[in-house]
Amino acid sequence: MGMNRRDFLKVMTAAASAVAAGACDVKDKAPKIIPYVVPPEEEIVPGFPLYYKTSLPDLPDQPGVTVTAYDKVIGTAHEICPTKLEGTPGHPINDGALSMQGQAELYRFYSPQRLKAPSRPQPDGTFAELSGQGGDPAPEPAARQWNEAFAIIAAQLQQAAAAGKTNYYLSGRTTGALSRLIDEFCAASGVRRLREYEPFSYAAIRRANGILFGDAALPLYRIEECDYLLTVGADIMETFVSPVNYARQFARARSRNGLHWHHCGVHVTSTAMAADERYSIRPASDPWLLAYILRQVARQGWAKNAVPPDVLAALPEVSAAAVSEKTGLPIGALNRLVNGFEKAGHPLLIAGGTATAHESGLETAVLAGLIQWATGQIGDTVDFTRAENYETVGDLDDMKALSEELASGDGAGVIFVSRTDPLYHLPAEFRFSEGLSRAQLIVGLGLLPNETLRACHLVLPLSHALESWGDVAPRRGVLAPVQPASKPLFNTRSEGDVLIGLLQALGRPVPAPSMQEYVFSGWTKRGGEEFTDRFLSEGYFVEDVARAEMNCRFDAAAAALREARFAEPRSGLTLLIAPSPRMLDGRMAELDGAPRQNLLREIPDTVTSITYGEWVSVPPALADELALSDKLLEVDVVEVTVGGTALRLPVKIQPRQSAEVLVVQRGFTSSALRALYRRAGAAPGGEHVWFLDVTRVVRTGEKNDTLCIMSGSQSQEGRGFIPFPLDEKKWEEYERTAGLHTTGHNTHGGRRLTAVLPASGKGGGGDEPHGGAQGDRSGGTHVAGGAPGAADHDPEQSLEGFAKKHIGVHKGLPGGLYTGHTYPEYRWAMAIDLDLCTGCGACVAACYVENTIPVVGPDDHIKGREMSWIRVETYFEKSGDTFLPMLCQHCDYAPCEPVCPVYATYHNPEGLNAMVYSRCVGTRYCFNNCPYKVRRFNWWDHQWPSPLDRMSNPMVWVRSKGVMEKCTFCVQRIRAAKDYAKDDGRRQVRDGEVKTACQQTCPAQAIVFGNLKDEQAAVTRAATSQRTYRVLDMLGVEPAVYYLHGKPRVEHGGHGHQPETKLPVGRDGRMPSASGVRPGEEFQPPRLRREVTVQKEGGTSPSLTGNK
Amino acid sequence: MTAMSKKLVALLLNGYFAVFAVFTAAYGFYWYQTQYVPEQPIAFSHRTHIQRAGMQCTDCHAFGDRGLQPGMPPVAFCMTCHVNVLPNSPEIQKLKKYYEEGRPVEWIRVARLGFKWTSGGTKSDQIYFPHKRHVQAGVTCQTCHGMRESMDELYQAAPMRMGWCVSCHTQEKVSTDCWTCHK
Repeated sequence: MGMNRRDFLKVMTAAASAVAAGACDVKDKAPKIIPYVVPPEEEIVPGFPLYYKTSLPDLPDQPGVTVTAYDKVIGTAHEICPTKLEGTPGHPINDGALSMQGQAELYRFYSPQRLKAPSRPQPDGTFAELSGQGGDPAPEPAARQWNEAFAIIAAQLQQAAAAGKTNYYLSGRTTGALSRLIDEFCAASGVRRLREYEPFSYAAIRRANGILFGDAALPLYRIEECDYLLTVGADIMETFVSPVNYARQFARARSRNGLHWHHCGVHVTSTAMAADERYSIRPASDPWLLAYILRQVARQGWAKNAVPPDVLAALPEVSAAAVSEKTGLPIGALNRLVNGFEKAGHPLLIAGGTATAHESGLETAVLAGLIQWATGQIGDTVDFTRAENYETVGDLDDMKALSEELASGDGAGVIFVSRTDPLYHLPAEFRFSEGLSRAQLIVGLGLLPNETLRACHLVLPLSHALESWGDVAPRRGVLAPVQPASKPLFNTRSEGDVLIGLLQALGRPVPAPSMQEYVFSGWTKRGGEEFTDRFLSEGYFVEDVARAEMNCRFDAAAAALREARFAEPRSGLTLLIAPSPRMLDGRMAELDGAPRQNLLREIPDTVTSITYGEWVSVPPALADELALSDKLLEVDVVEVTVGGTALRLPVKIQPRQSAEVLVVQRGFTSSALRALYRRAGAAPGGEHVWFLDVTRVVRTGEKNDTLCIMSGSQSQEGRGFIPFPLDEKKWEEYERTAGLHTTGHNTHGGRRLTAVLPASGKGGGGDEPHGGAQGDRSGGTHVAGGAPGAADHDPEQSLEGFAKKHIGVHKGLPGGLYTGHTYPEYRWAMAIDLDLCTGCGACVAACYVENTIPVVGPDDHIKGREMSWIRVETYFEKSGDTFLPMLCQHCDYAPCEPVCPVYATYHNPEGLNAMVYSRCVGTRYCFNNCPYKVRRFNWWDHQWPSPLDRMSNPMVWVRSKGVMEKCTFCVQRIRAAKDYAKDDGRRQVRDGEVKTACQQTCPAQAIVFGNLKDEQAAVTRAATSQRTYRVLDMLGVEPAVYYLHGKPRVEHGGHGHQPETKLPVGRDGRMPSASGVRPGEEFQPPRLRREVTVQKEGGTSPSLTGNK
Repeated sequence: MTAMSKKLVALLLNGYFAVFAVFTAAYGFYWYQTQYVPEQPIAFSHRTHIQRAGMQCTDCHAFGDRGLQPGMPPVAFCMTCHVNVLPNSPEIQKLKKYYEEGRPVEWIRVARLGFKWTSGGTKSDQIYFPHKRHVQAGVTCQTCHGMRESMDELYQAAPMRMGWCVSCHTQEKVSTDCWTCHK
């Protein structure tokens, strides 16, 4: 190095002064203790959180949440900061669970991108705050900005009144007190309230129910009551109406009723994968399918309610072969669907989603309603008494009428657009934006910037639900509070307060001085302060509703069917604009404005495993034809031409996808795709059309290197993560030899395993007293009668044998270097029921928020540097499709432990594979040695731009650069439970007291956690179940995560037919009488349009050959 | 001089200074750990409050037996007495000013768990230390915080580093598993 003495001294002096200057900093950086100035009203015990029961009205299902909030020092002030959202236990919608979106809601609440003050949108897409001049002078600048905004609106309203123009109030779905207040505001200020706009309005179903039953409502589907479920098009586990509620019910139905579930759909969703049998049908062939089923149900003479002949006469007369041809289902499959209804005591049909989002959507919904009527579902499993509250929601016809109205005459006066983004969604043919822009003043209300807000003249920022007062009524007779858990982070107001402020500015009488007083007066009217207190502490209120007695109006039904067009199914290549399991209708993409701030982008899409990027899912057959590849970094780009517009998108080859369907999801943000969404028009049922004709698809030769496909392969590649062959025949044999649930109370033809998990709620096997080994022997519990013996003979499978092997003193591996472990009190373990897992990803989101895991963004993802501690792996195999949640397995002989040179990871006395961050020096040896790939390395000091930093969980240390991290089994929750137990005078934590974040939020209650040393613990029961296995057990690492593998989920055509005796029967034990059993039509190897053949052993992609 | 001896001298000189540097750093570290008496915004004396006013620790630090932290008294709480007690003392005037302006007193933390060069010299965010468990187990405040009742100005009385924690945990036969304390 060419440095002389003089330079050296110079550098040294400079460095020394820098050090000295840095040292002076010490005093400023000295840690401080900030007391309160005035103590808070409610007592806050330092270090312990506060809990608030509230609701999230911005999510489609409006779930009840319990907010965990910590008192934190921000600057020099104490603030209550929500750090985690969890479902409110017992809440009628979500009963403790929360979806991925609900868990990620804190990212919306704390988003730095939120609208921060009343402002005017600028042409460059930014928002310029109002100066605060020109309104009522108020002491605080914050209030002055609002006063200015109110003054502008008041002036414009008066001007509009003078000019005789109409003012409009358009909002997203609103329920509860806010809806009443909007009515009062509109009446007092001369504004016309419009029917609300939601992209997913379920209009066809509601309209059909209006025709058939005189109640245009969206009923509550009581999945938990049913024993046979047929879903047509509706992705009930992802976006359809109330997925968390449905998943909860599904889990109960599985364990209680032996639910058997068929799904017919056009694309691959996690709903389709969770169903027992999936039938791939042609786009828009749903009315033909349902017409066939209705005809068969009516004709075969076992229908519970008769359908008059004039209704049947209105149905198109087609043969089974013709329907088979139109739908692409073999006749045998069609009859299996019909038989399902016949054999079931309480069947349920749900048709929606892709089934109603096309030109014949209304017919589909009407036919579904008729089948529901004929098979006795109305009033049983289809419940109008507790219908979902969509009363104020309109449909696309309303929006079309509005667009025409706005475009005619002089244009509108003042238009309020609140919590909805019609410019993003509405079909371009409506020319809504042109009409809108003719208005005198467009006032946008919202939380985050979106396309509509950017087109407004004035934008009023709304407070988040966690900062507002209100209530929601998601269903008939269900009321839940919205109460603040935090002070407003920015100069925002709740919509109710905005409306009250506006009324004041207009000089009109106000119903209450603030939204808080408005909702309190409403609650007090119901039952005084006592009601209010109980309501706020319980978080929901269910009132009695008069039972809805429904009668079918057959004349109206026949008339509707006679008018129906029964369009031919779509032929040729079709593009499906599918709802996104992550972004829903697209609303969750509002956070994409800044990098690394949208948790939902970071979580892989359930079916494709893609995180960042925009893609088109193509069927394997087309991929073969075009020689496409979706290898990471070399993803082929195709050009999809839709109606004259060409789109260039990277591909994801999607196993199981129908040969003539391409899929793009909603919620992409590039302008080309937004234009594509708007290209689709309106269906006669009042819903958006989701299908577009594809003119051609060509391979461009271009390669994409930014699409983050997180799963290297969606095949197990013979590694046996799910070791039992998921084969129907083998499963039967397995069931037989294992002596599973063949007798006892759960006599559904041996269809389902008796629940071993207690989480499945009331009834079912889960509640049985469980006598451990003794119970097993007496045949009184979960291994009930049937073929006894397996449990007795296999020492591994009896509790004693299990305990010998897994609990207490381990002998160590034979011939191994390491001695065994002694677990004096606890051996924490987890069991995951793959039969219940629907792959929804809620666990992943919950883990991110609970453990303050950073969102690292696409650049890191493409390098494989994602940070998730739990992921859901999706496998498409010859023998069935499965989800596998994968997290640290907390192995007894963890391969990561012995390779750590600094003893940063070690085995703790409770069986946890612990990680001491402050010891870690980042060699990543452990990472390389982990067979499950669950360890994550911090390549950066991850940043949480304010106010996102307030979200961090104070019970977890935020890891710094160069440190390894991984699942801890939520050790902070174990500590909290022990602390609680000690306060309670107990030495041991009770079973169920520790709930990990993933377990707590699981909508299907597929996860159980607990102490394996407790023989009565739910996890021990699950771990000793006959269907338990461990992933990569043959490595001998003794993992502590037990998987209960599920029944094979059958892809139509992939397997032989189901024997008749295996079909479920009702809870009343109604077995089909001898005469009632028709000889089941023998399954014919599919020779129709959509033959699915599996190419080779271990191969994942079925090739789809059609008669194109 | 030969090249060899030149190197030797350089080595000796460098070594001499290096030893100095190490000693200085070590002393600085030791001083910061034990002798550091930060200047507090108000010259609050624990001795006066405990010995002269006869107060108990829990009168002000109300959550010692049920909180993770013992809690600091709110400014308003100080004022409940000091409206009447020595209202004209210059230090109480400072307190009054804080109260009237609605600002919290920014006390400098004295008890620093662990030591970290960055983020202000404490590892408390990495450690789960429930005061309640220790107080309920009969550990006195003085065991860790020293004779606060005789201190006019506060200093850290115990090293509060891992070895010190573990020595007590070993002696008392309570868990020494890393994850008992490390978050």
